[in-house]
Amino acid sequence: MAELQVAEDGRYLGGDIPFGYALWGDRLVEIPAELDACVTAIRMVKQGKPYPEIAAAVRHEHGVTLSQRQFDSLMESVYRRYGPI
Amino acid sequence: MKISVNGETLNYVKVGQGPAIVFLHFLGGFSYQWRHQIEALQDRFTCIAFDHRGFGFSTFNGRWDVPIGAEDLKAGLDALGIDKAHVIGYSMGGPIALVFNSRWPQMVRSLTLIDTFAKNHTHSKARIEESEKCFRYMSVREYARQYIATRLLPSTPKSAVDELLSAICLCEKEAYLDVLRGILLPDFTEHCSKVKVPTLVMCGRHDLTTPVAFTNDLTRLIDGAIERIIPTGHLGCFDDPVEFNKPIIEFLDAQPR
Repeated sequence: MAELQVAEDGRYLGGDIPFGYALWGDRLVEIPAELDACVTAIRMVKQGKPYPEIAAAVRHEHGVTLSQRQFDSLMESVYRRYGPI
Repeated sequence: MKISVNGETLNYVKVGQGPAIVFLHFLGGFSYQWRHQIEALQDRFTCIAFDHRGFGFSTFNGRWDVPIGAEDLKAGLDALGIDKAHVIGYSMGGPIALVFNSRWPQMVRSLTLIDTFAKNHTHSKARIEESEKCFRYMSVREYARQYIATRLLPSTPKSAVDELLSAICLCEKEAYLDVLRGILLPDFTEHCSKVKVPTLVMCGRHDLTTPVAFTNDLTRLIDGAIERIIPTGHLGCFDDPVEFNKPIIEFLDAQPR
C-alpha cells in the first residue's frame, strides 16, 4: 500500500486512491455509492461484525465491492481520525 | 441573534429568567443542540448559548484556540450584561470553561464539564494529521458522516443522526481543524486546581472519544467535584436527552440562587 498524498490545495500527488473516491485529472472526486458503503462498513465494525459479513452487506446494499485491502485502509484512516470506535 | 465581538459576529440565543447559565457546545455542534436543556431550565434560569466562532451561524474571520474561545465568551457575556453565570462546557467546551474560570473566576457560579478532559492524551497528533489530510479532499459532509457512524450509538434515533450531520456541515473546515489543534495538544491540567466553585463532571459510559478515565481525572483534579456517569456515548444529548438532562438539572437546581 502506498500512502495517499494530497497537496494543501487538494491536488492528488500520489499513493492509493481512498475507497469512495476516483481520480479525475489531479482531483479526487466522490463516488456516492462507495461513500454510503463506507458509512455502512464503519457502523458494522462498531457492531463487531467481521470483514466478510461487511463486504457482503455493502455489495447487497450499495452494489459495490469493498476489498479487504480497501477495508483495511478505510478503517486505518478512520481510527487515525476518530480514535477507537 | 447576533453580537460582534473580537472581530467576529457570534450567533447566540438568550431566553428565560433568573440566574444566568451559559452553554458551550461540542465540536461540530452549535447553540441549537442545547435546546432540550434550555427548554428544561428556562423557567428559572436565563439560558445563553453562543455558537463558537466558525460554527453554526457565527463567522470565522480569524483563528481559534482555547484562550481565544474563552475571550469570545467573556466578550459575549459582557456584551449581554451578564456578570456571573453557571458555565456548562461540553467536550470542546470543557477546556474553554476551565480557561475562562482561571481568567475570570469572579464570573463563574458553577462549572458543569460534560464528556471532556483536562488532557486528551490519546492519539491526538495522529488525529490532527489525518484530519488535515482528509479535509484536503473530503467534504465536511463526508467527514461528518463517517465521524457520526463511529460515535452515535446504534439506538440513537435517525433524526438525531441527521441533525448532527446538518450541524457539522455548517462549520468551517479551518475552524474544525483549529479546534482539534487547540484542544487535543495542550494540557489544561493546571486550570483544574484553580476551580473553586461547585463542579459537576459527567460522562457517557460508552464514550470512546473522551472516555470515562478522562472524567475520573477531572474529578480527581478538581476539589469537591461531583461525578456522574450516564448510559450514553460521547454525544449523550443525541443518544438519550432525558438521561443526559437529569444530572445537569439536579446539579443546577441544587445551587444557591
